[in-house]
Amino acid sequence: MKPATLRAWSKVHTWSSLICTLFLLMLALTGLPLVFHDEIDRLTHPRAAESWTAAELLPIDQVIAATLARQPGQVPIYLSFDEDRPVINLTTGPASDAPEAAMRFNPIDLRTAAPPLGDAPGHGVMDIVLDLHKDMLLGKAGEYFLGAMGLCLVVALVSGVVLYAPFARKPGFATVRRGKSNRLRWLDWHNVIGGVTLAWAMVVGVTGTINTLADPITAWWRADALAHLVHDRNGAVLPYRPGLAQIALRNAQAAVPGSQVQFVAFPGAAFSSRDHIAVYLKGATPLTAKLLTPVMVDARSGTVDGVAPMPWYMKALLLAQPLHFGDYGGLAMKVLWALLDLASIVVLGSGLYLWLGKPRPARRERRA
Amino acid sequence: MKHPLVPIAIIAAVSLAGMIAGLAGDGWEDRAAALGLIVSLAPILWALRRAKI
Repeated sequence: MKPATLRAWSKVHTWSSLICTLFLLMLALTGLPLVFHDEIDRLTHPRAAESWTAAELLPIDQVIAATLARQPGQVPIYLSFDEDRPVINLTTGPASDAPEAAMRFNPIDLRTAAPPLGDAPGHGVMDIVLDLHKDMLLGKAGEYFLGAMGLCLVVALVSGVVLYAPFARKPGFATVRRGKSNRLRWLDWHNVIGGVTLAWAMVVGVTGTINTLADPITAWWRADALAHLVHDRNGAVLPYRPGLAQIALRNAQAAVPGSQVQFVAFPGAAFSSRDHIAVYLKGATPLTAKLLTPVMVDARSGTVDGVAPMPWYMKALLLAQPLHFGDYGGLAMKVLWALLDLASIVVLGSGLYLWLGKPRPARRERRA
Repeated sequence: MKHPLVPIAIIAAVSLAGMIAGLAGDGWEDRAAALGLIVSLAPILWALRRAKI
């Protein structure tokens, strides 16, 4: 590589890294506890394992009706199911297109049609850590900014590999030179750790950026694939018809055999249409359980209007979430993911140290 | 193995294949994912050990 080309790549690596280092350090530090969010949630909100029989459970429509009766003026927007207890989560609001801030999240015990006992209201510590990691508590602007930092990371990784190649010949692979200055030893550590964790860092960076684009990707999907399916009429939103939820669930599952319900979007909700109940089903295998298939059920009759397998970009979005947090392969994988996160902190810290400790005369000479 | 990027390319390929395989199942797929990540971490431990000698 010519010296001028090398200098250009060095500039790209230095500045793409400097722009994002502090934000990536924040993401690496907040990401560390998020890897273990299930374990931390179980510790901070201990809940005894529950057992129940189908005969104990009330019909879903009866539970929805009881919840709405306690909240006059509210309409159902979304419905989801807890996996480890017989509880549904009914999201309600003053209108089906209400903003998120106006929505109420109602966990309801299917045995009693009342809120489950022992549920602590409010946000846990992990919710705050997640918000910080997601958008630095700055909403959408913070989310898109962090997405841009993810792209900077990708540029820094690519330029880092290009720079590593000519320098790696001398010390050899995974070698930290002994008896050299602190700066050289940290440069070797930066190169060794950055090089061997390249694939992991690239996956986390790219999937993190994809996750920040969840809203525009979902909006595109709704305007594209979902719009073809629903043939939305321009009339008013159909009001929720009591008694139809159970029929919609049954008919949707019959349309996609072997599936399980992930969540339901009522008419007018962002993930539905004005006159459909959208039932989102997940598959039974570990891979298909991470993907969703929407089934549009007519909100008047309960019959299935159409099934829309998700396009590639929605599948990429759904798979980007587990790939970003590394929580899909059990505790062993989580521990390894956390170790790689710690390694990335060393790479970021050493990069900052190398830049701050860069000999000043060298900088002046280059300017001259 | 003369090019200095060959070991890094091999580690990246194994690691990536493991992470993607891990999405597909809960049995050998999870072990493949863990192996992929171990392949990324092992050279760091090796370098640490050699640096201490």
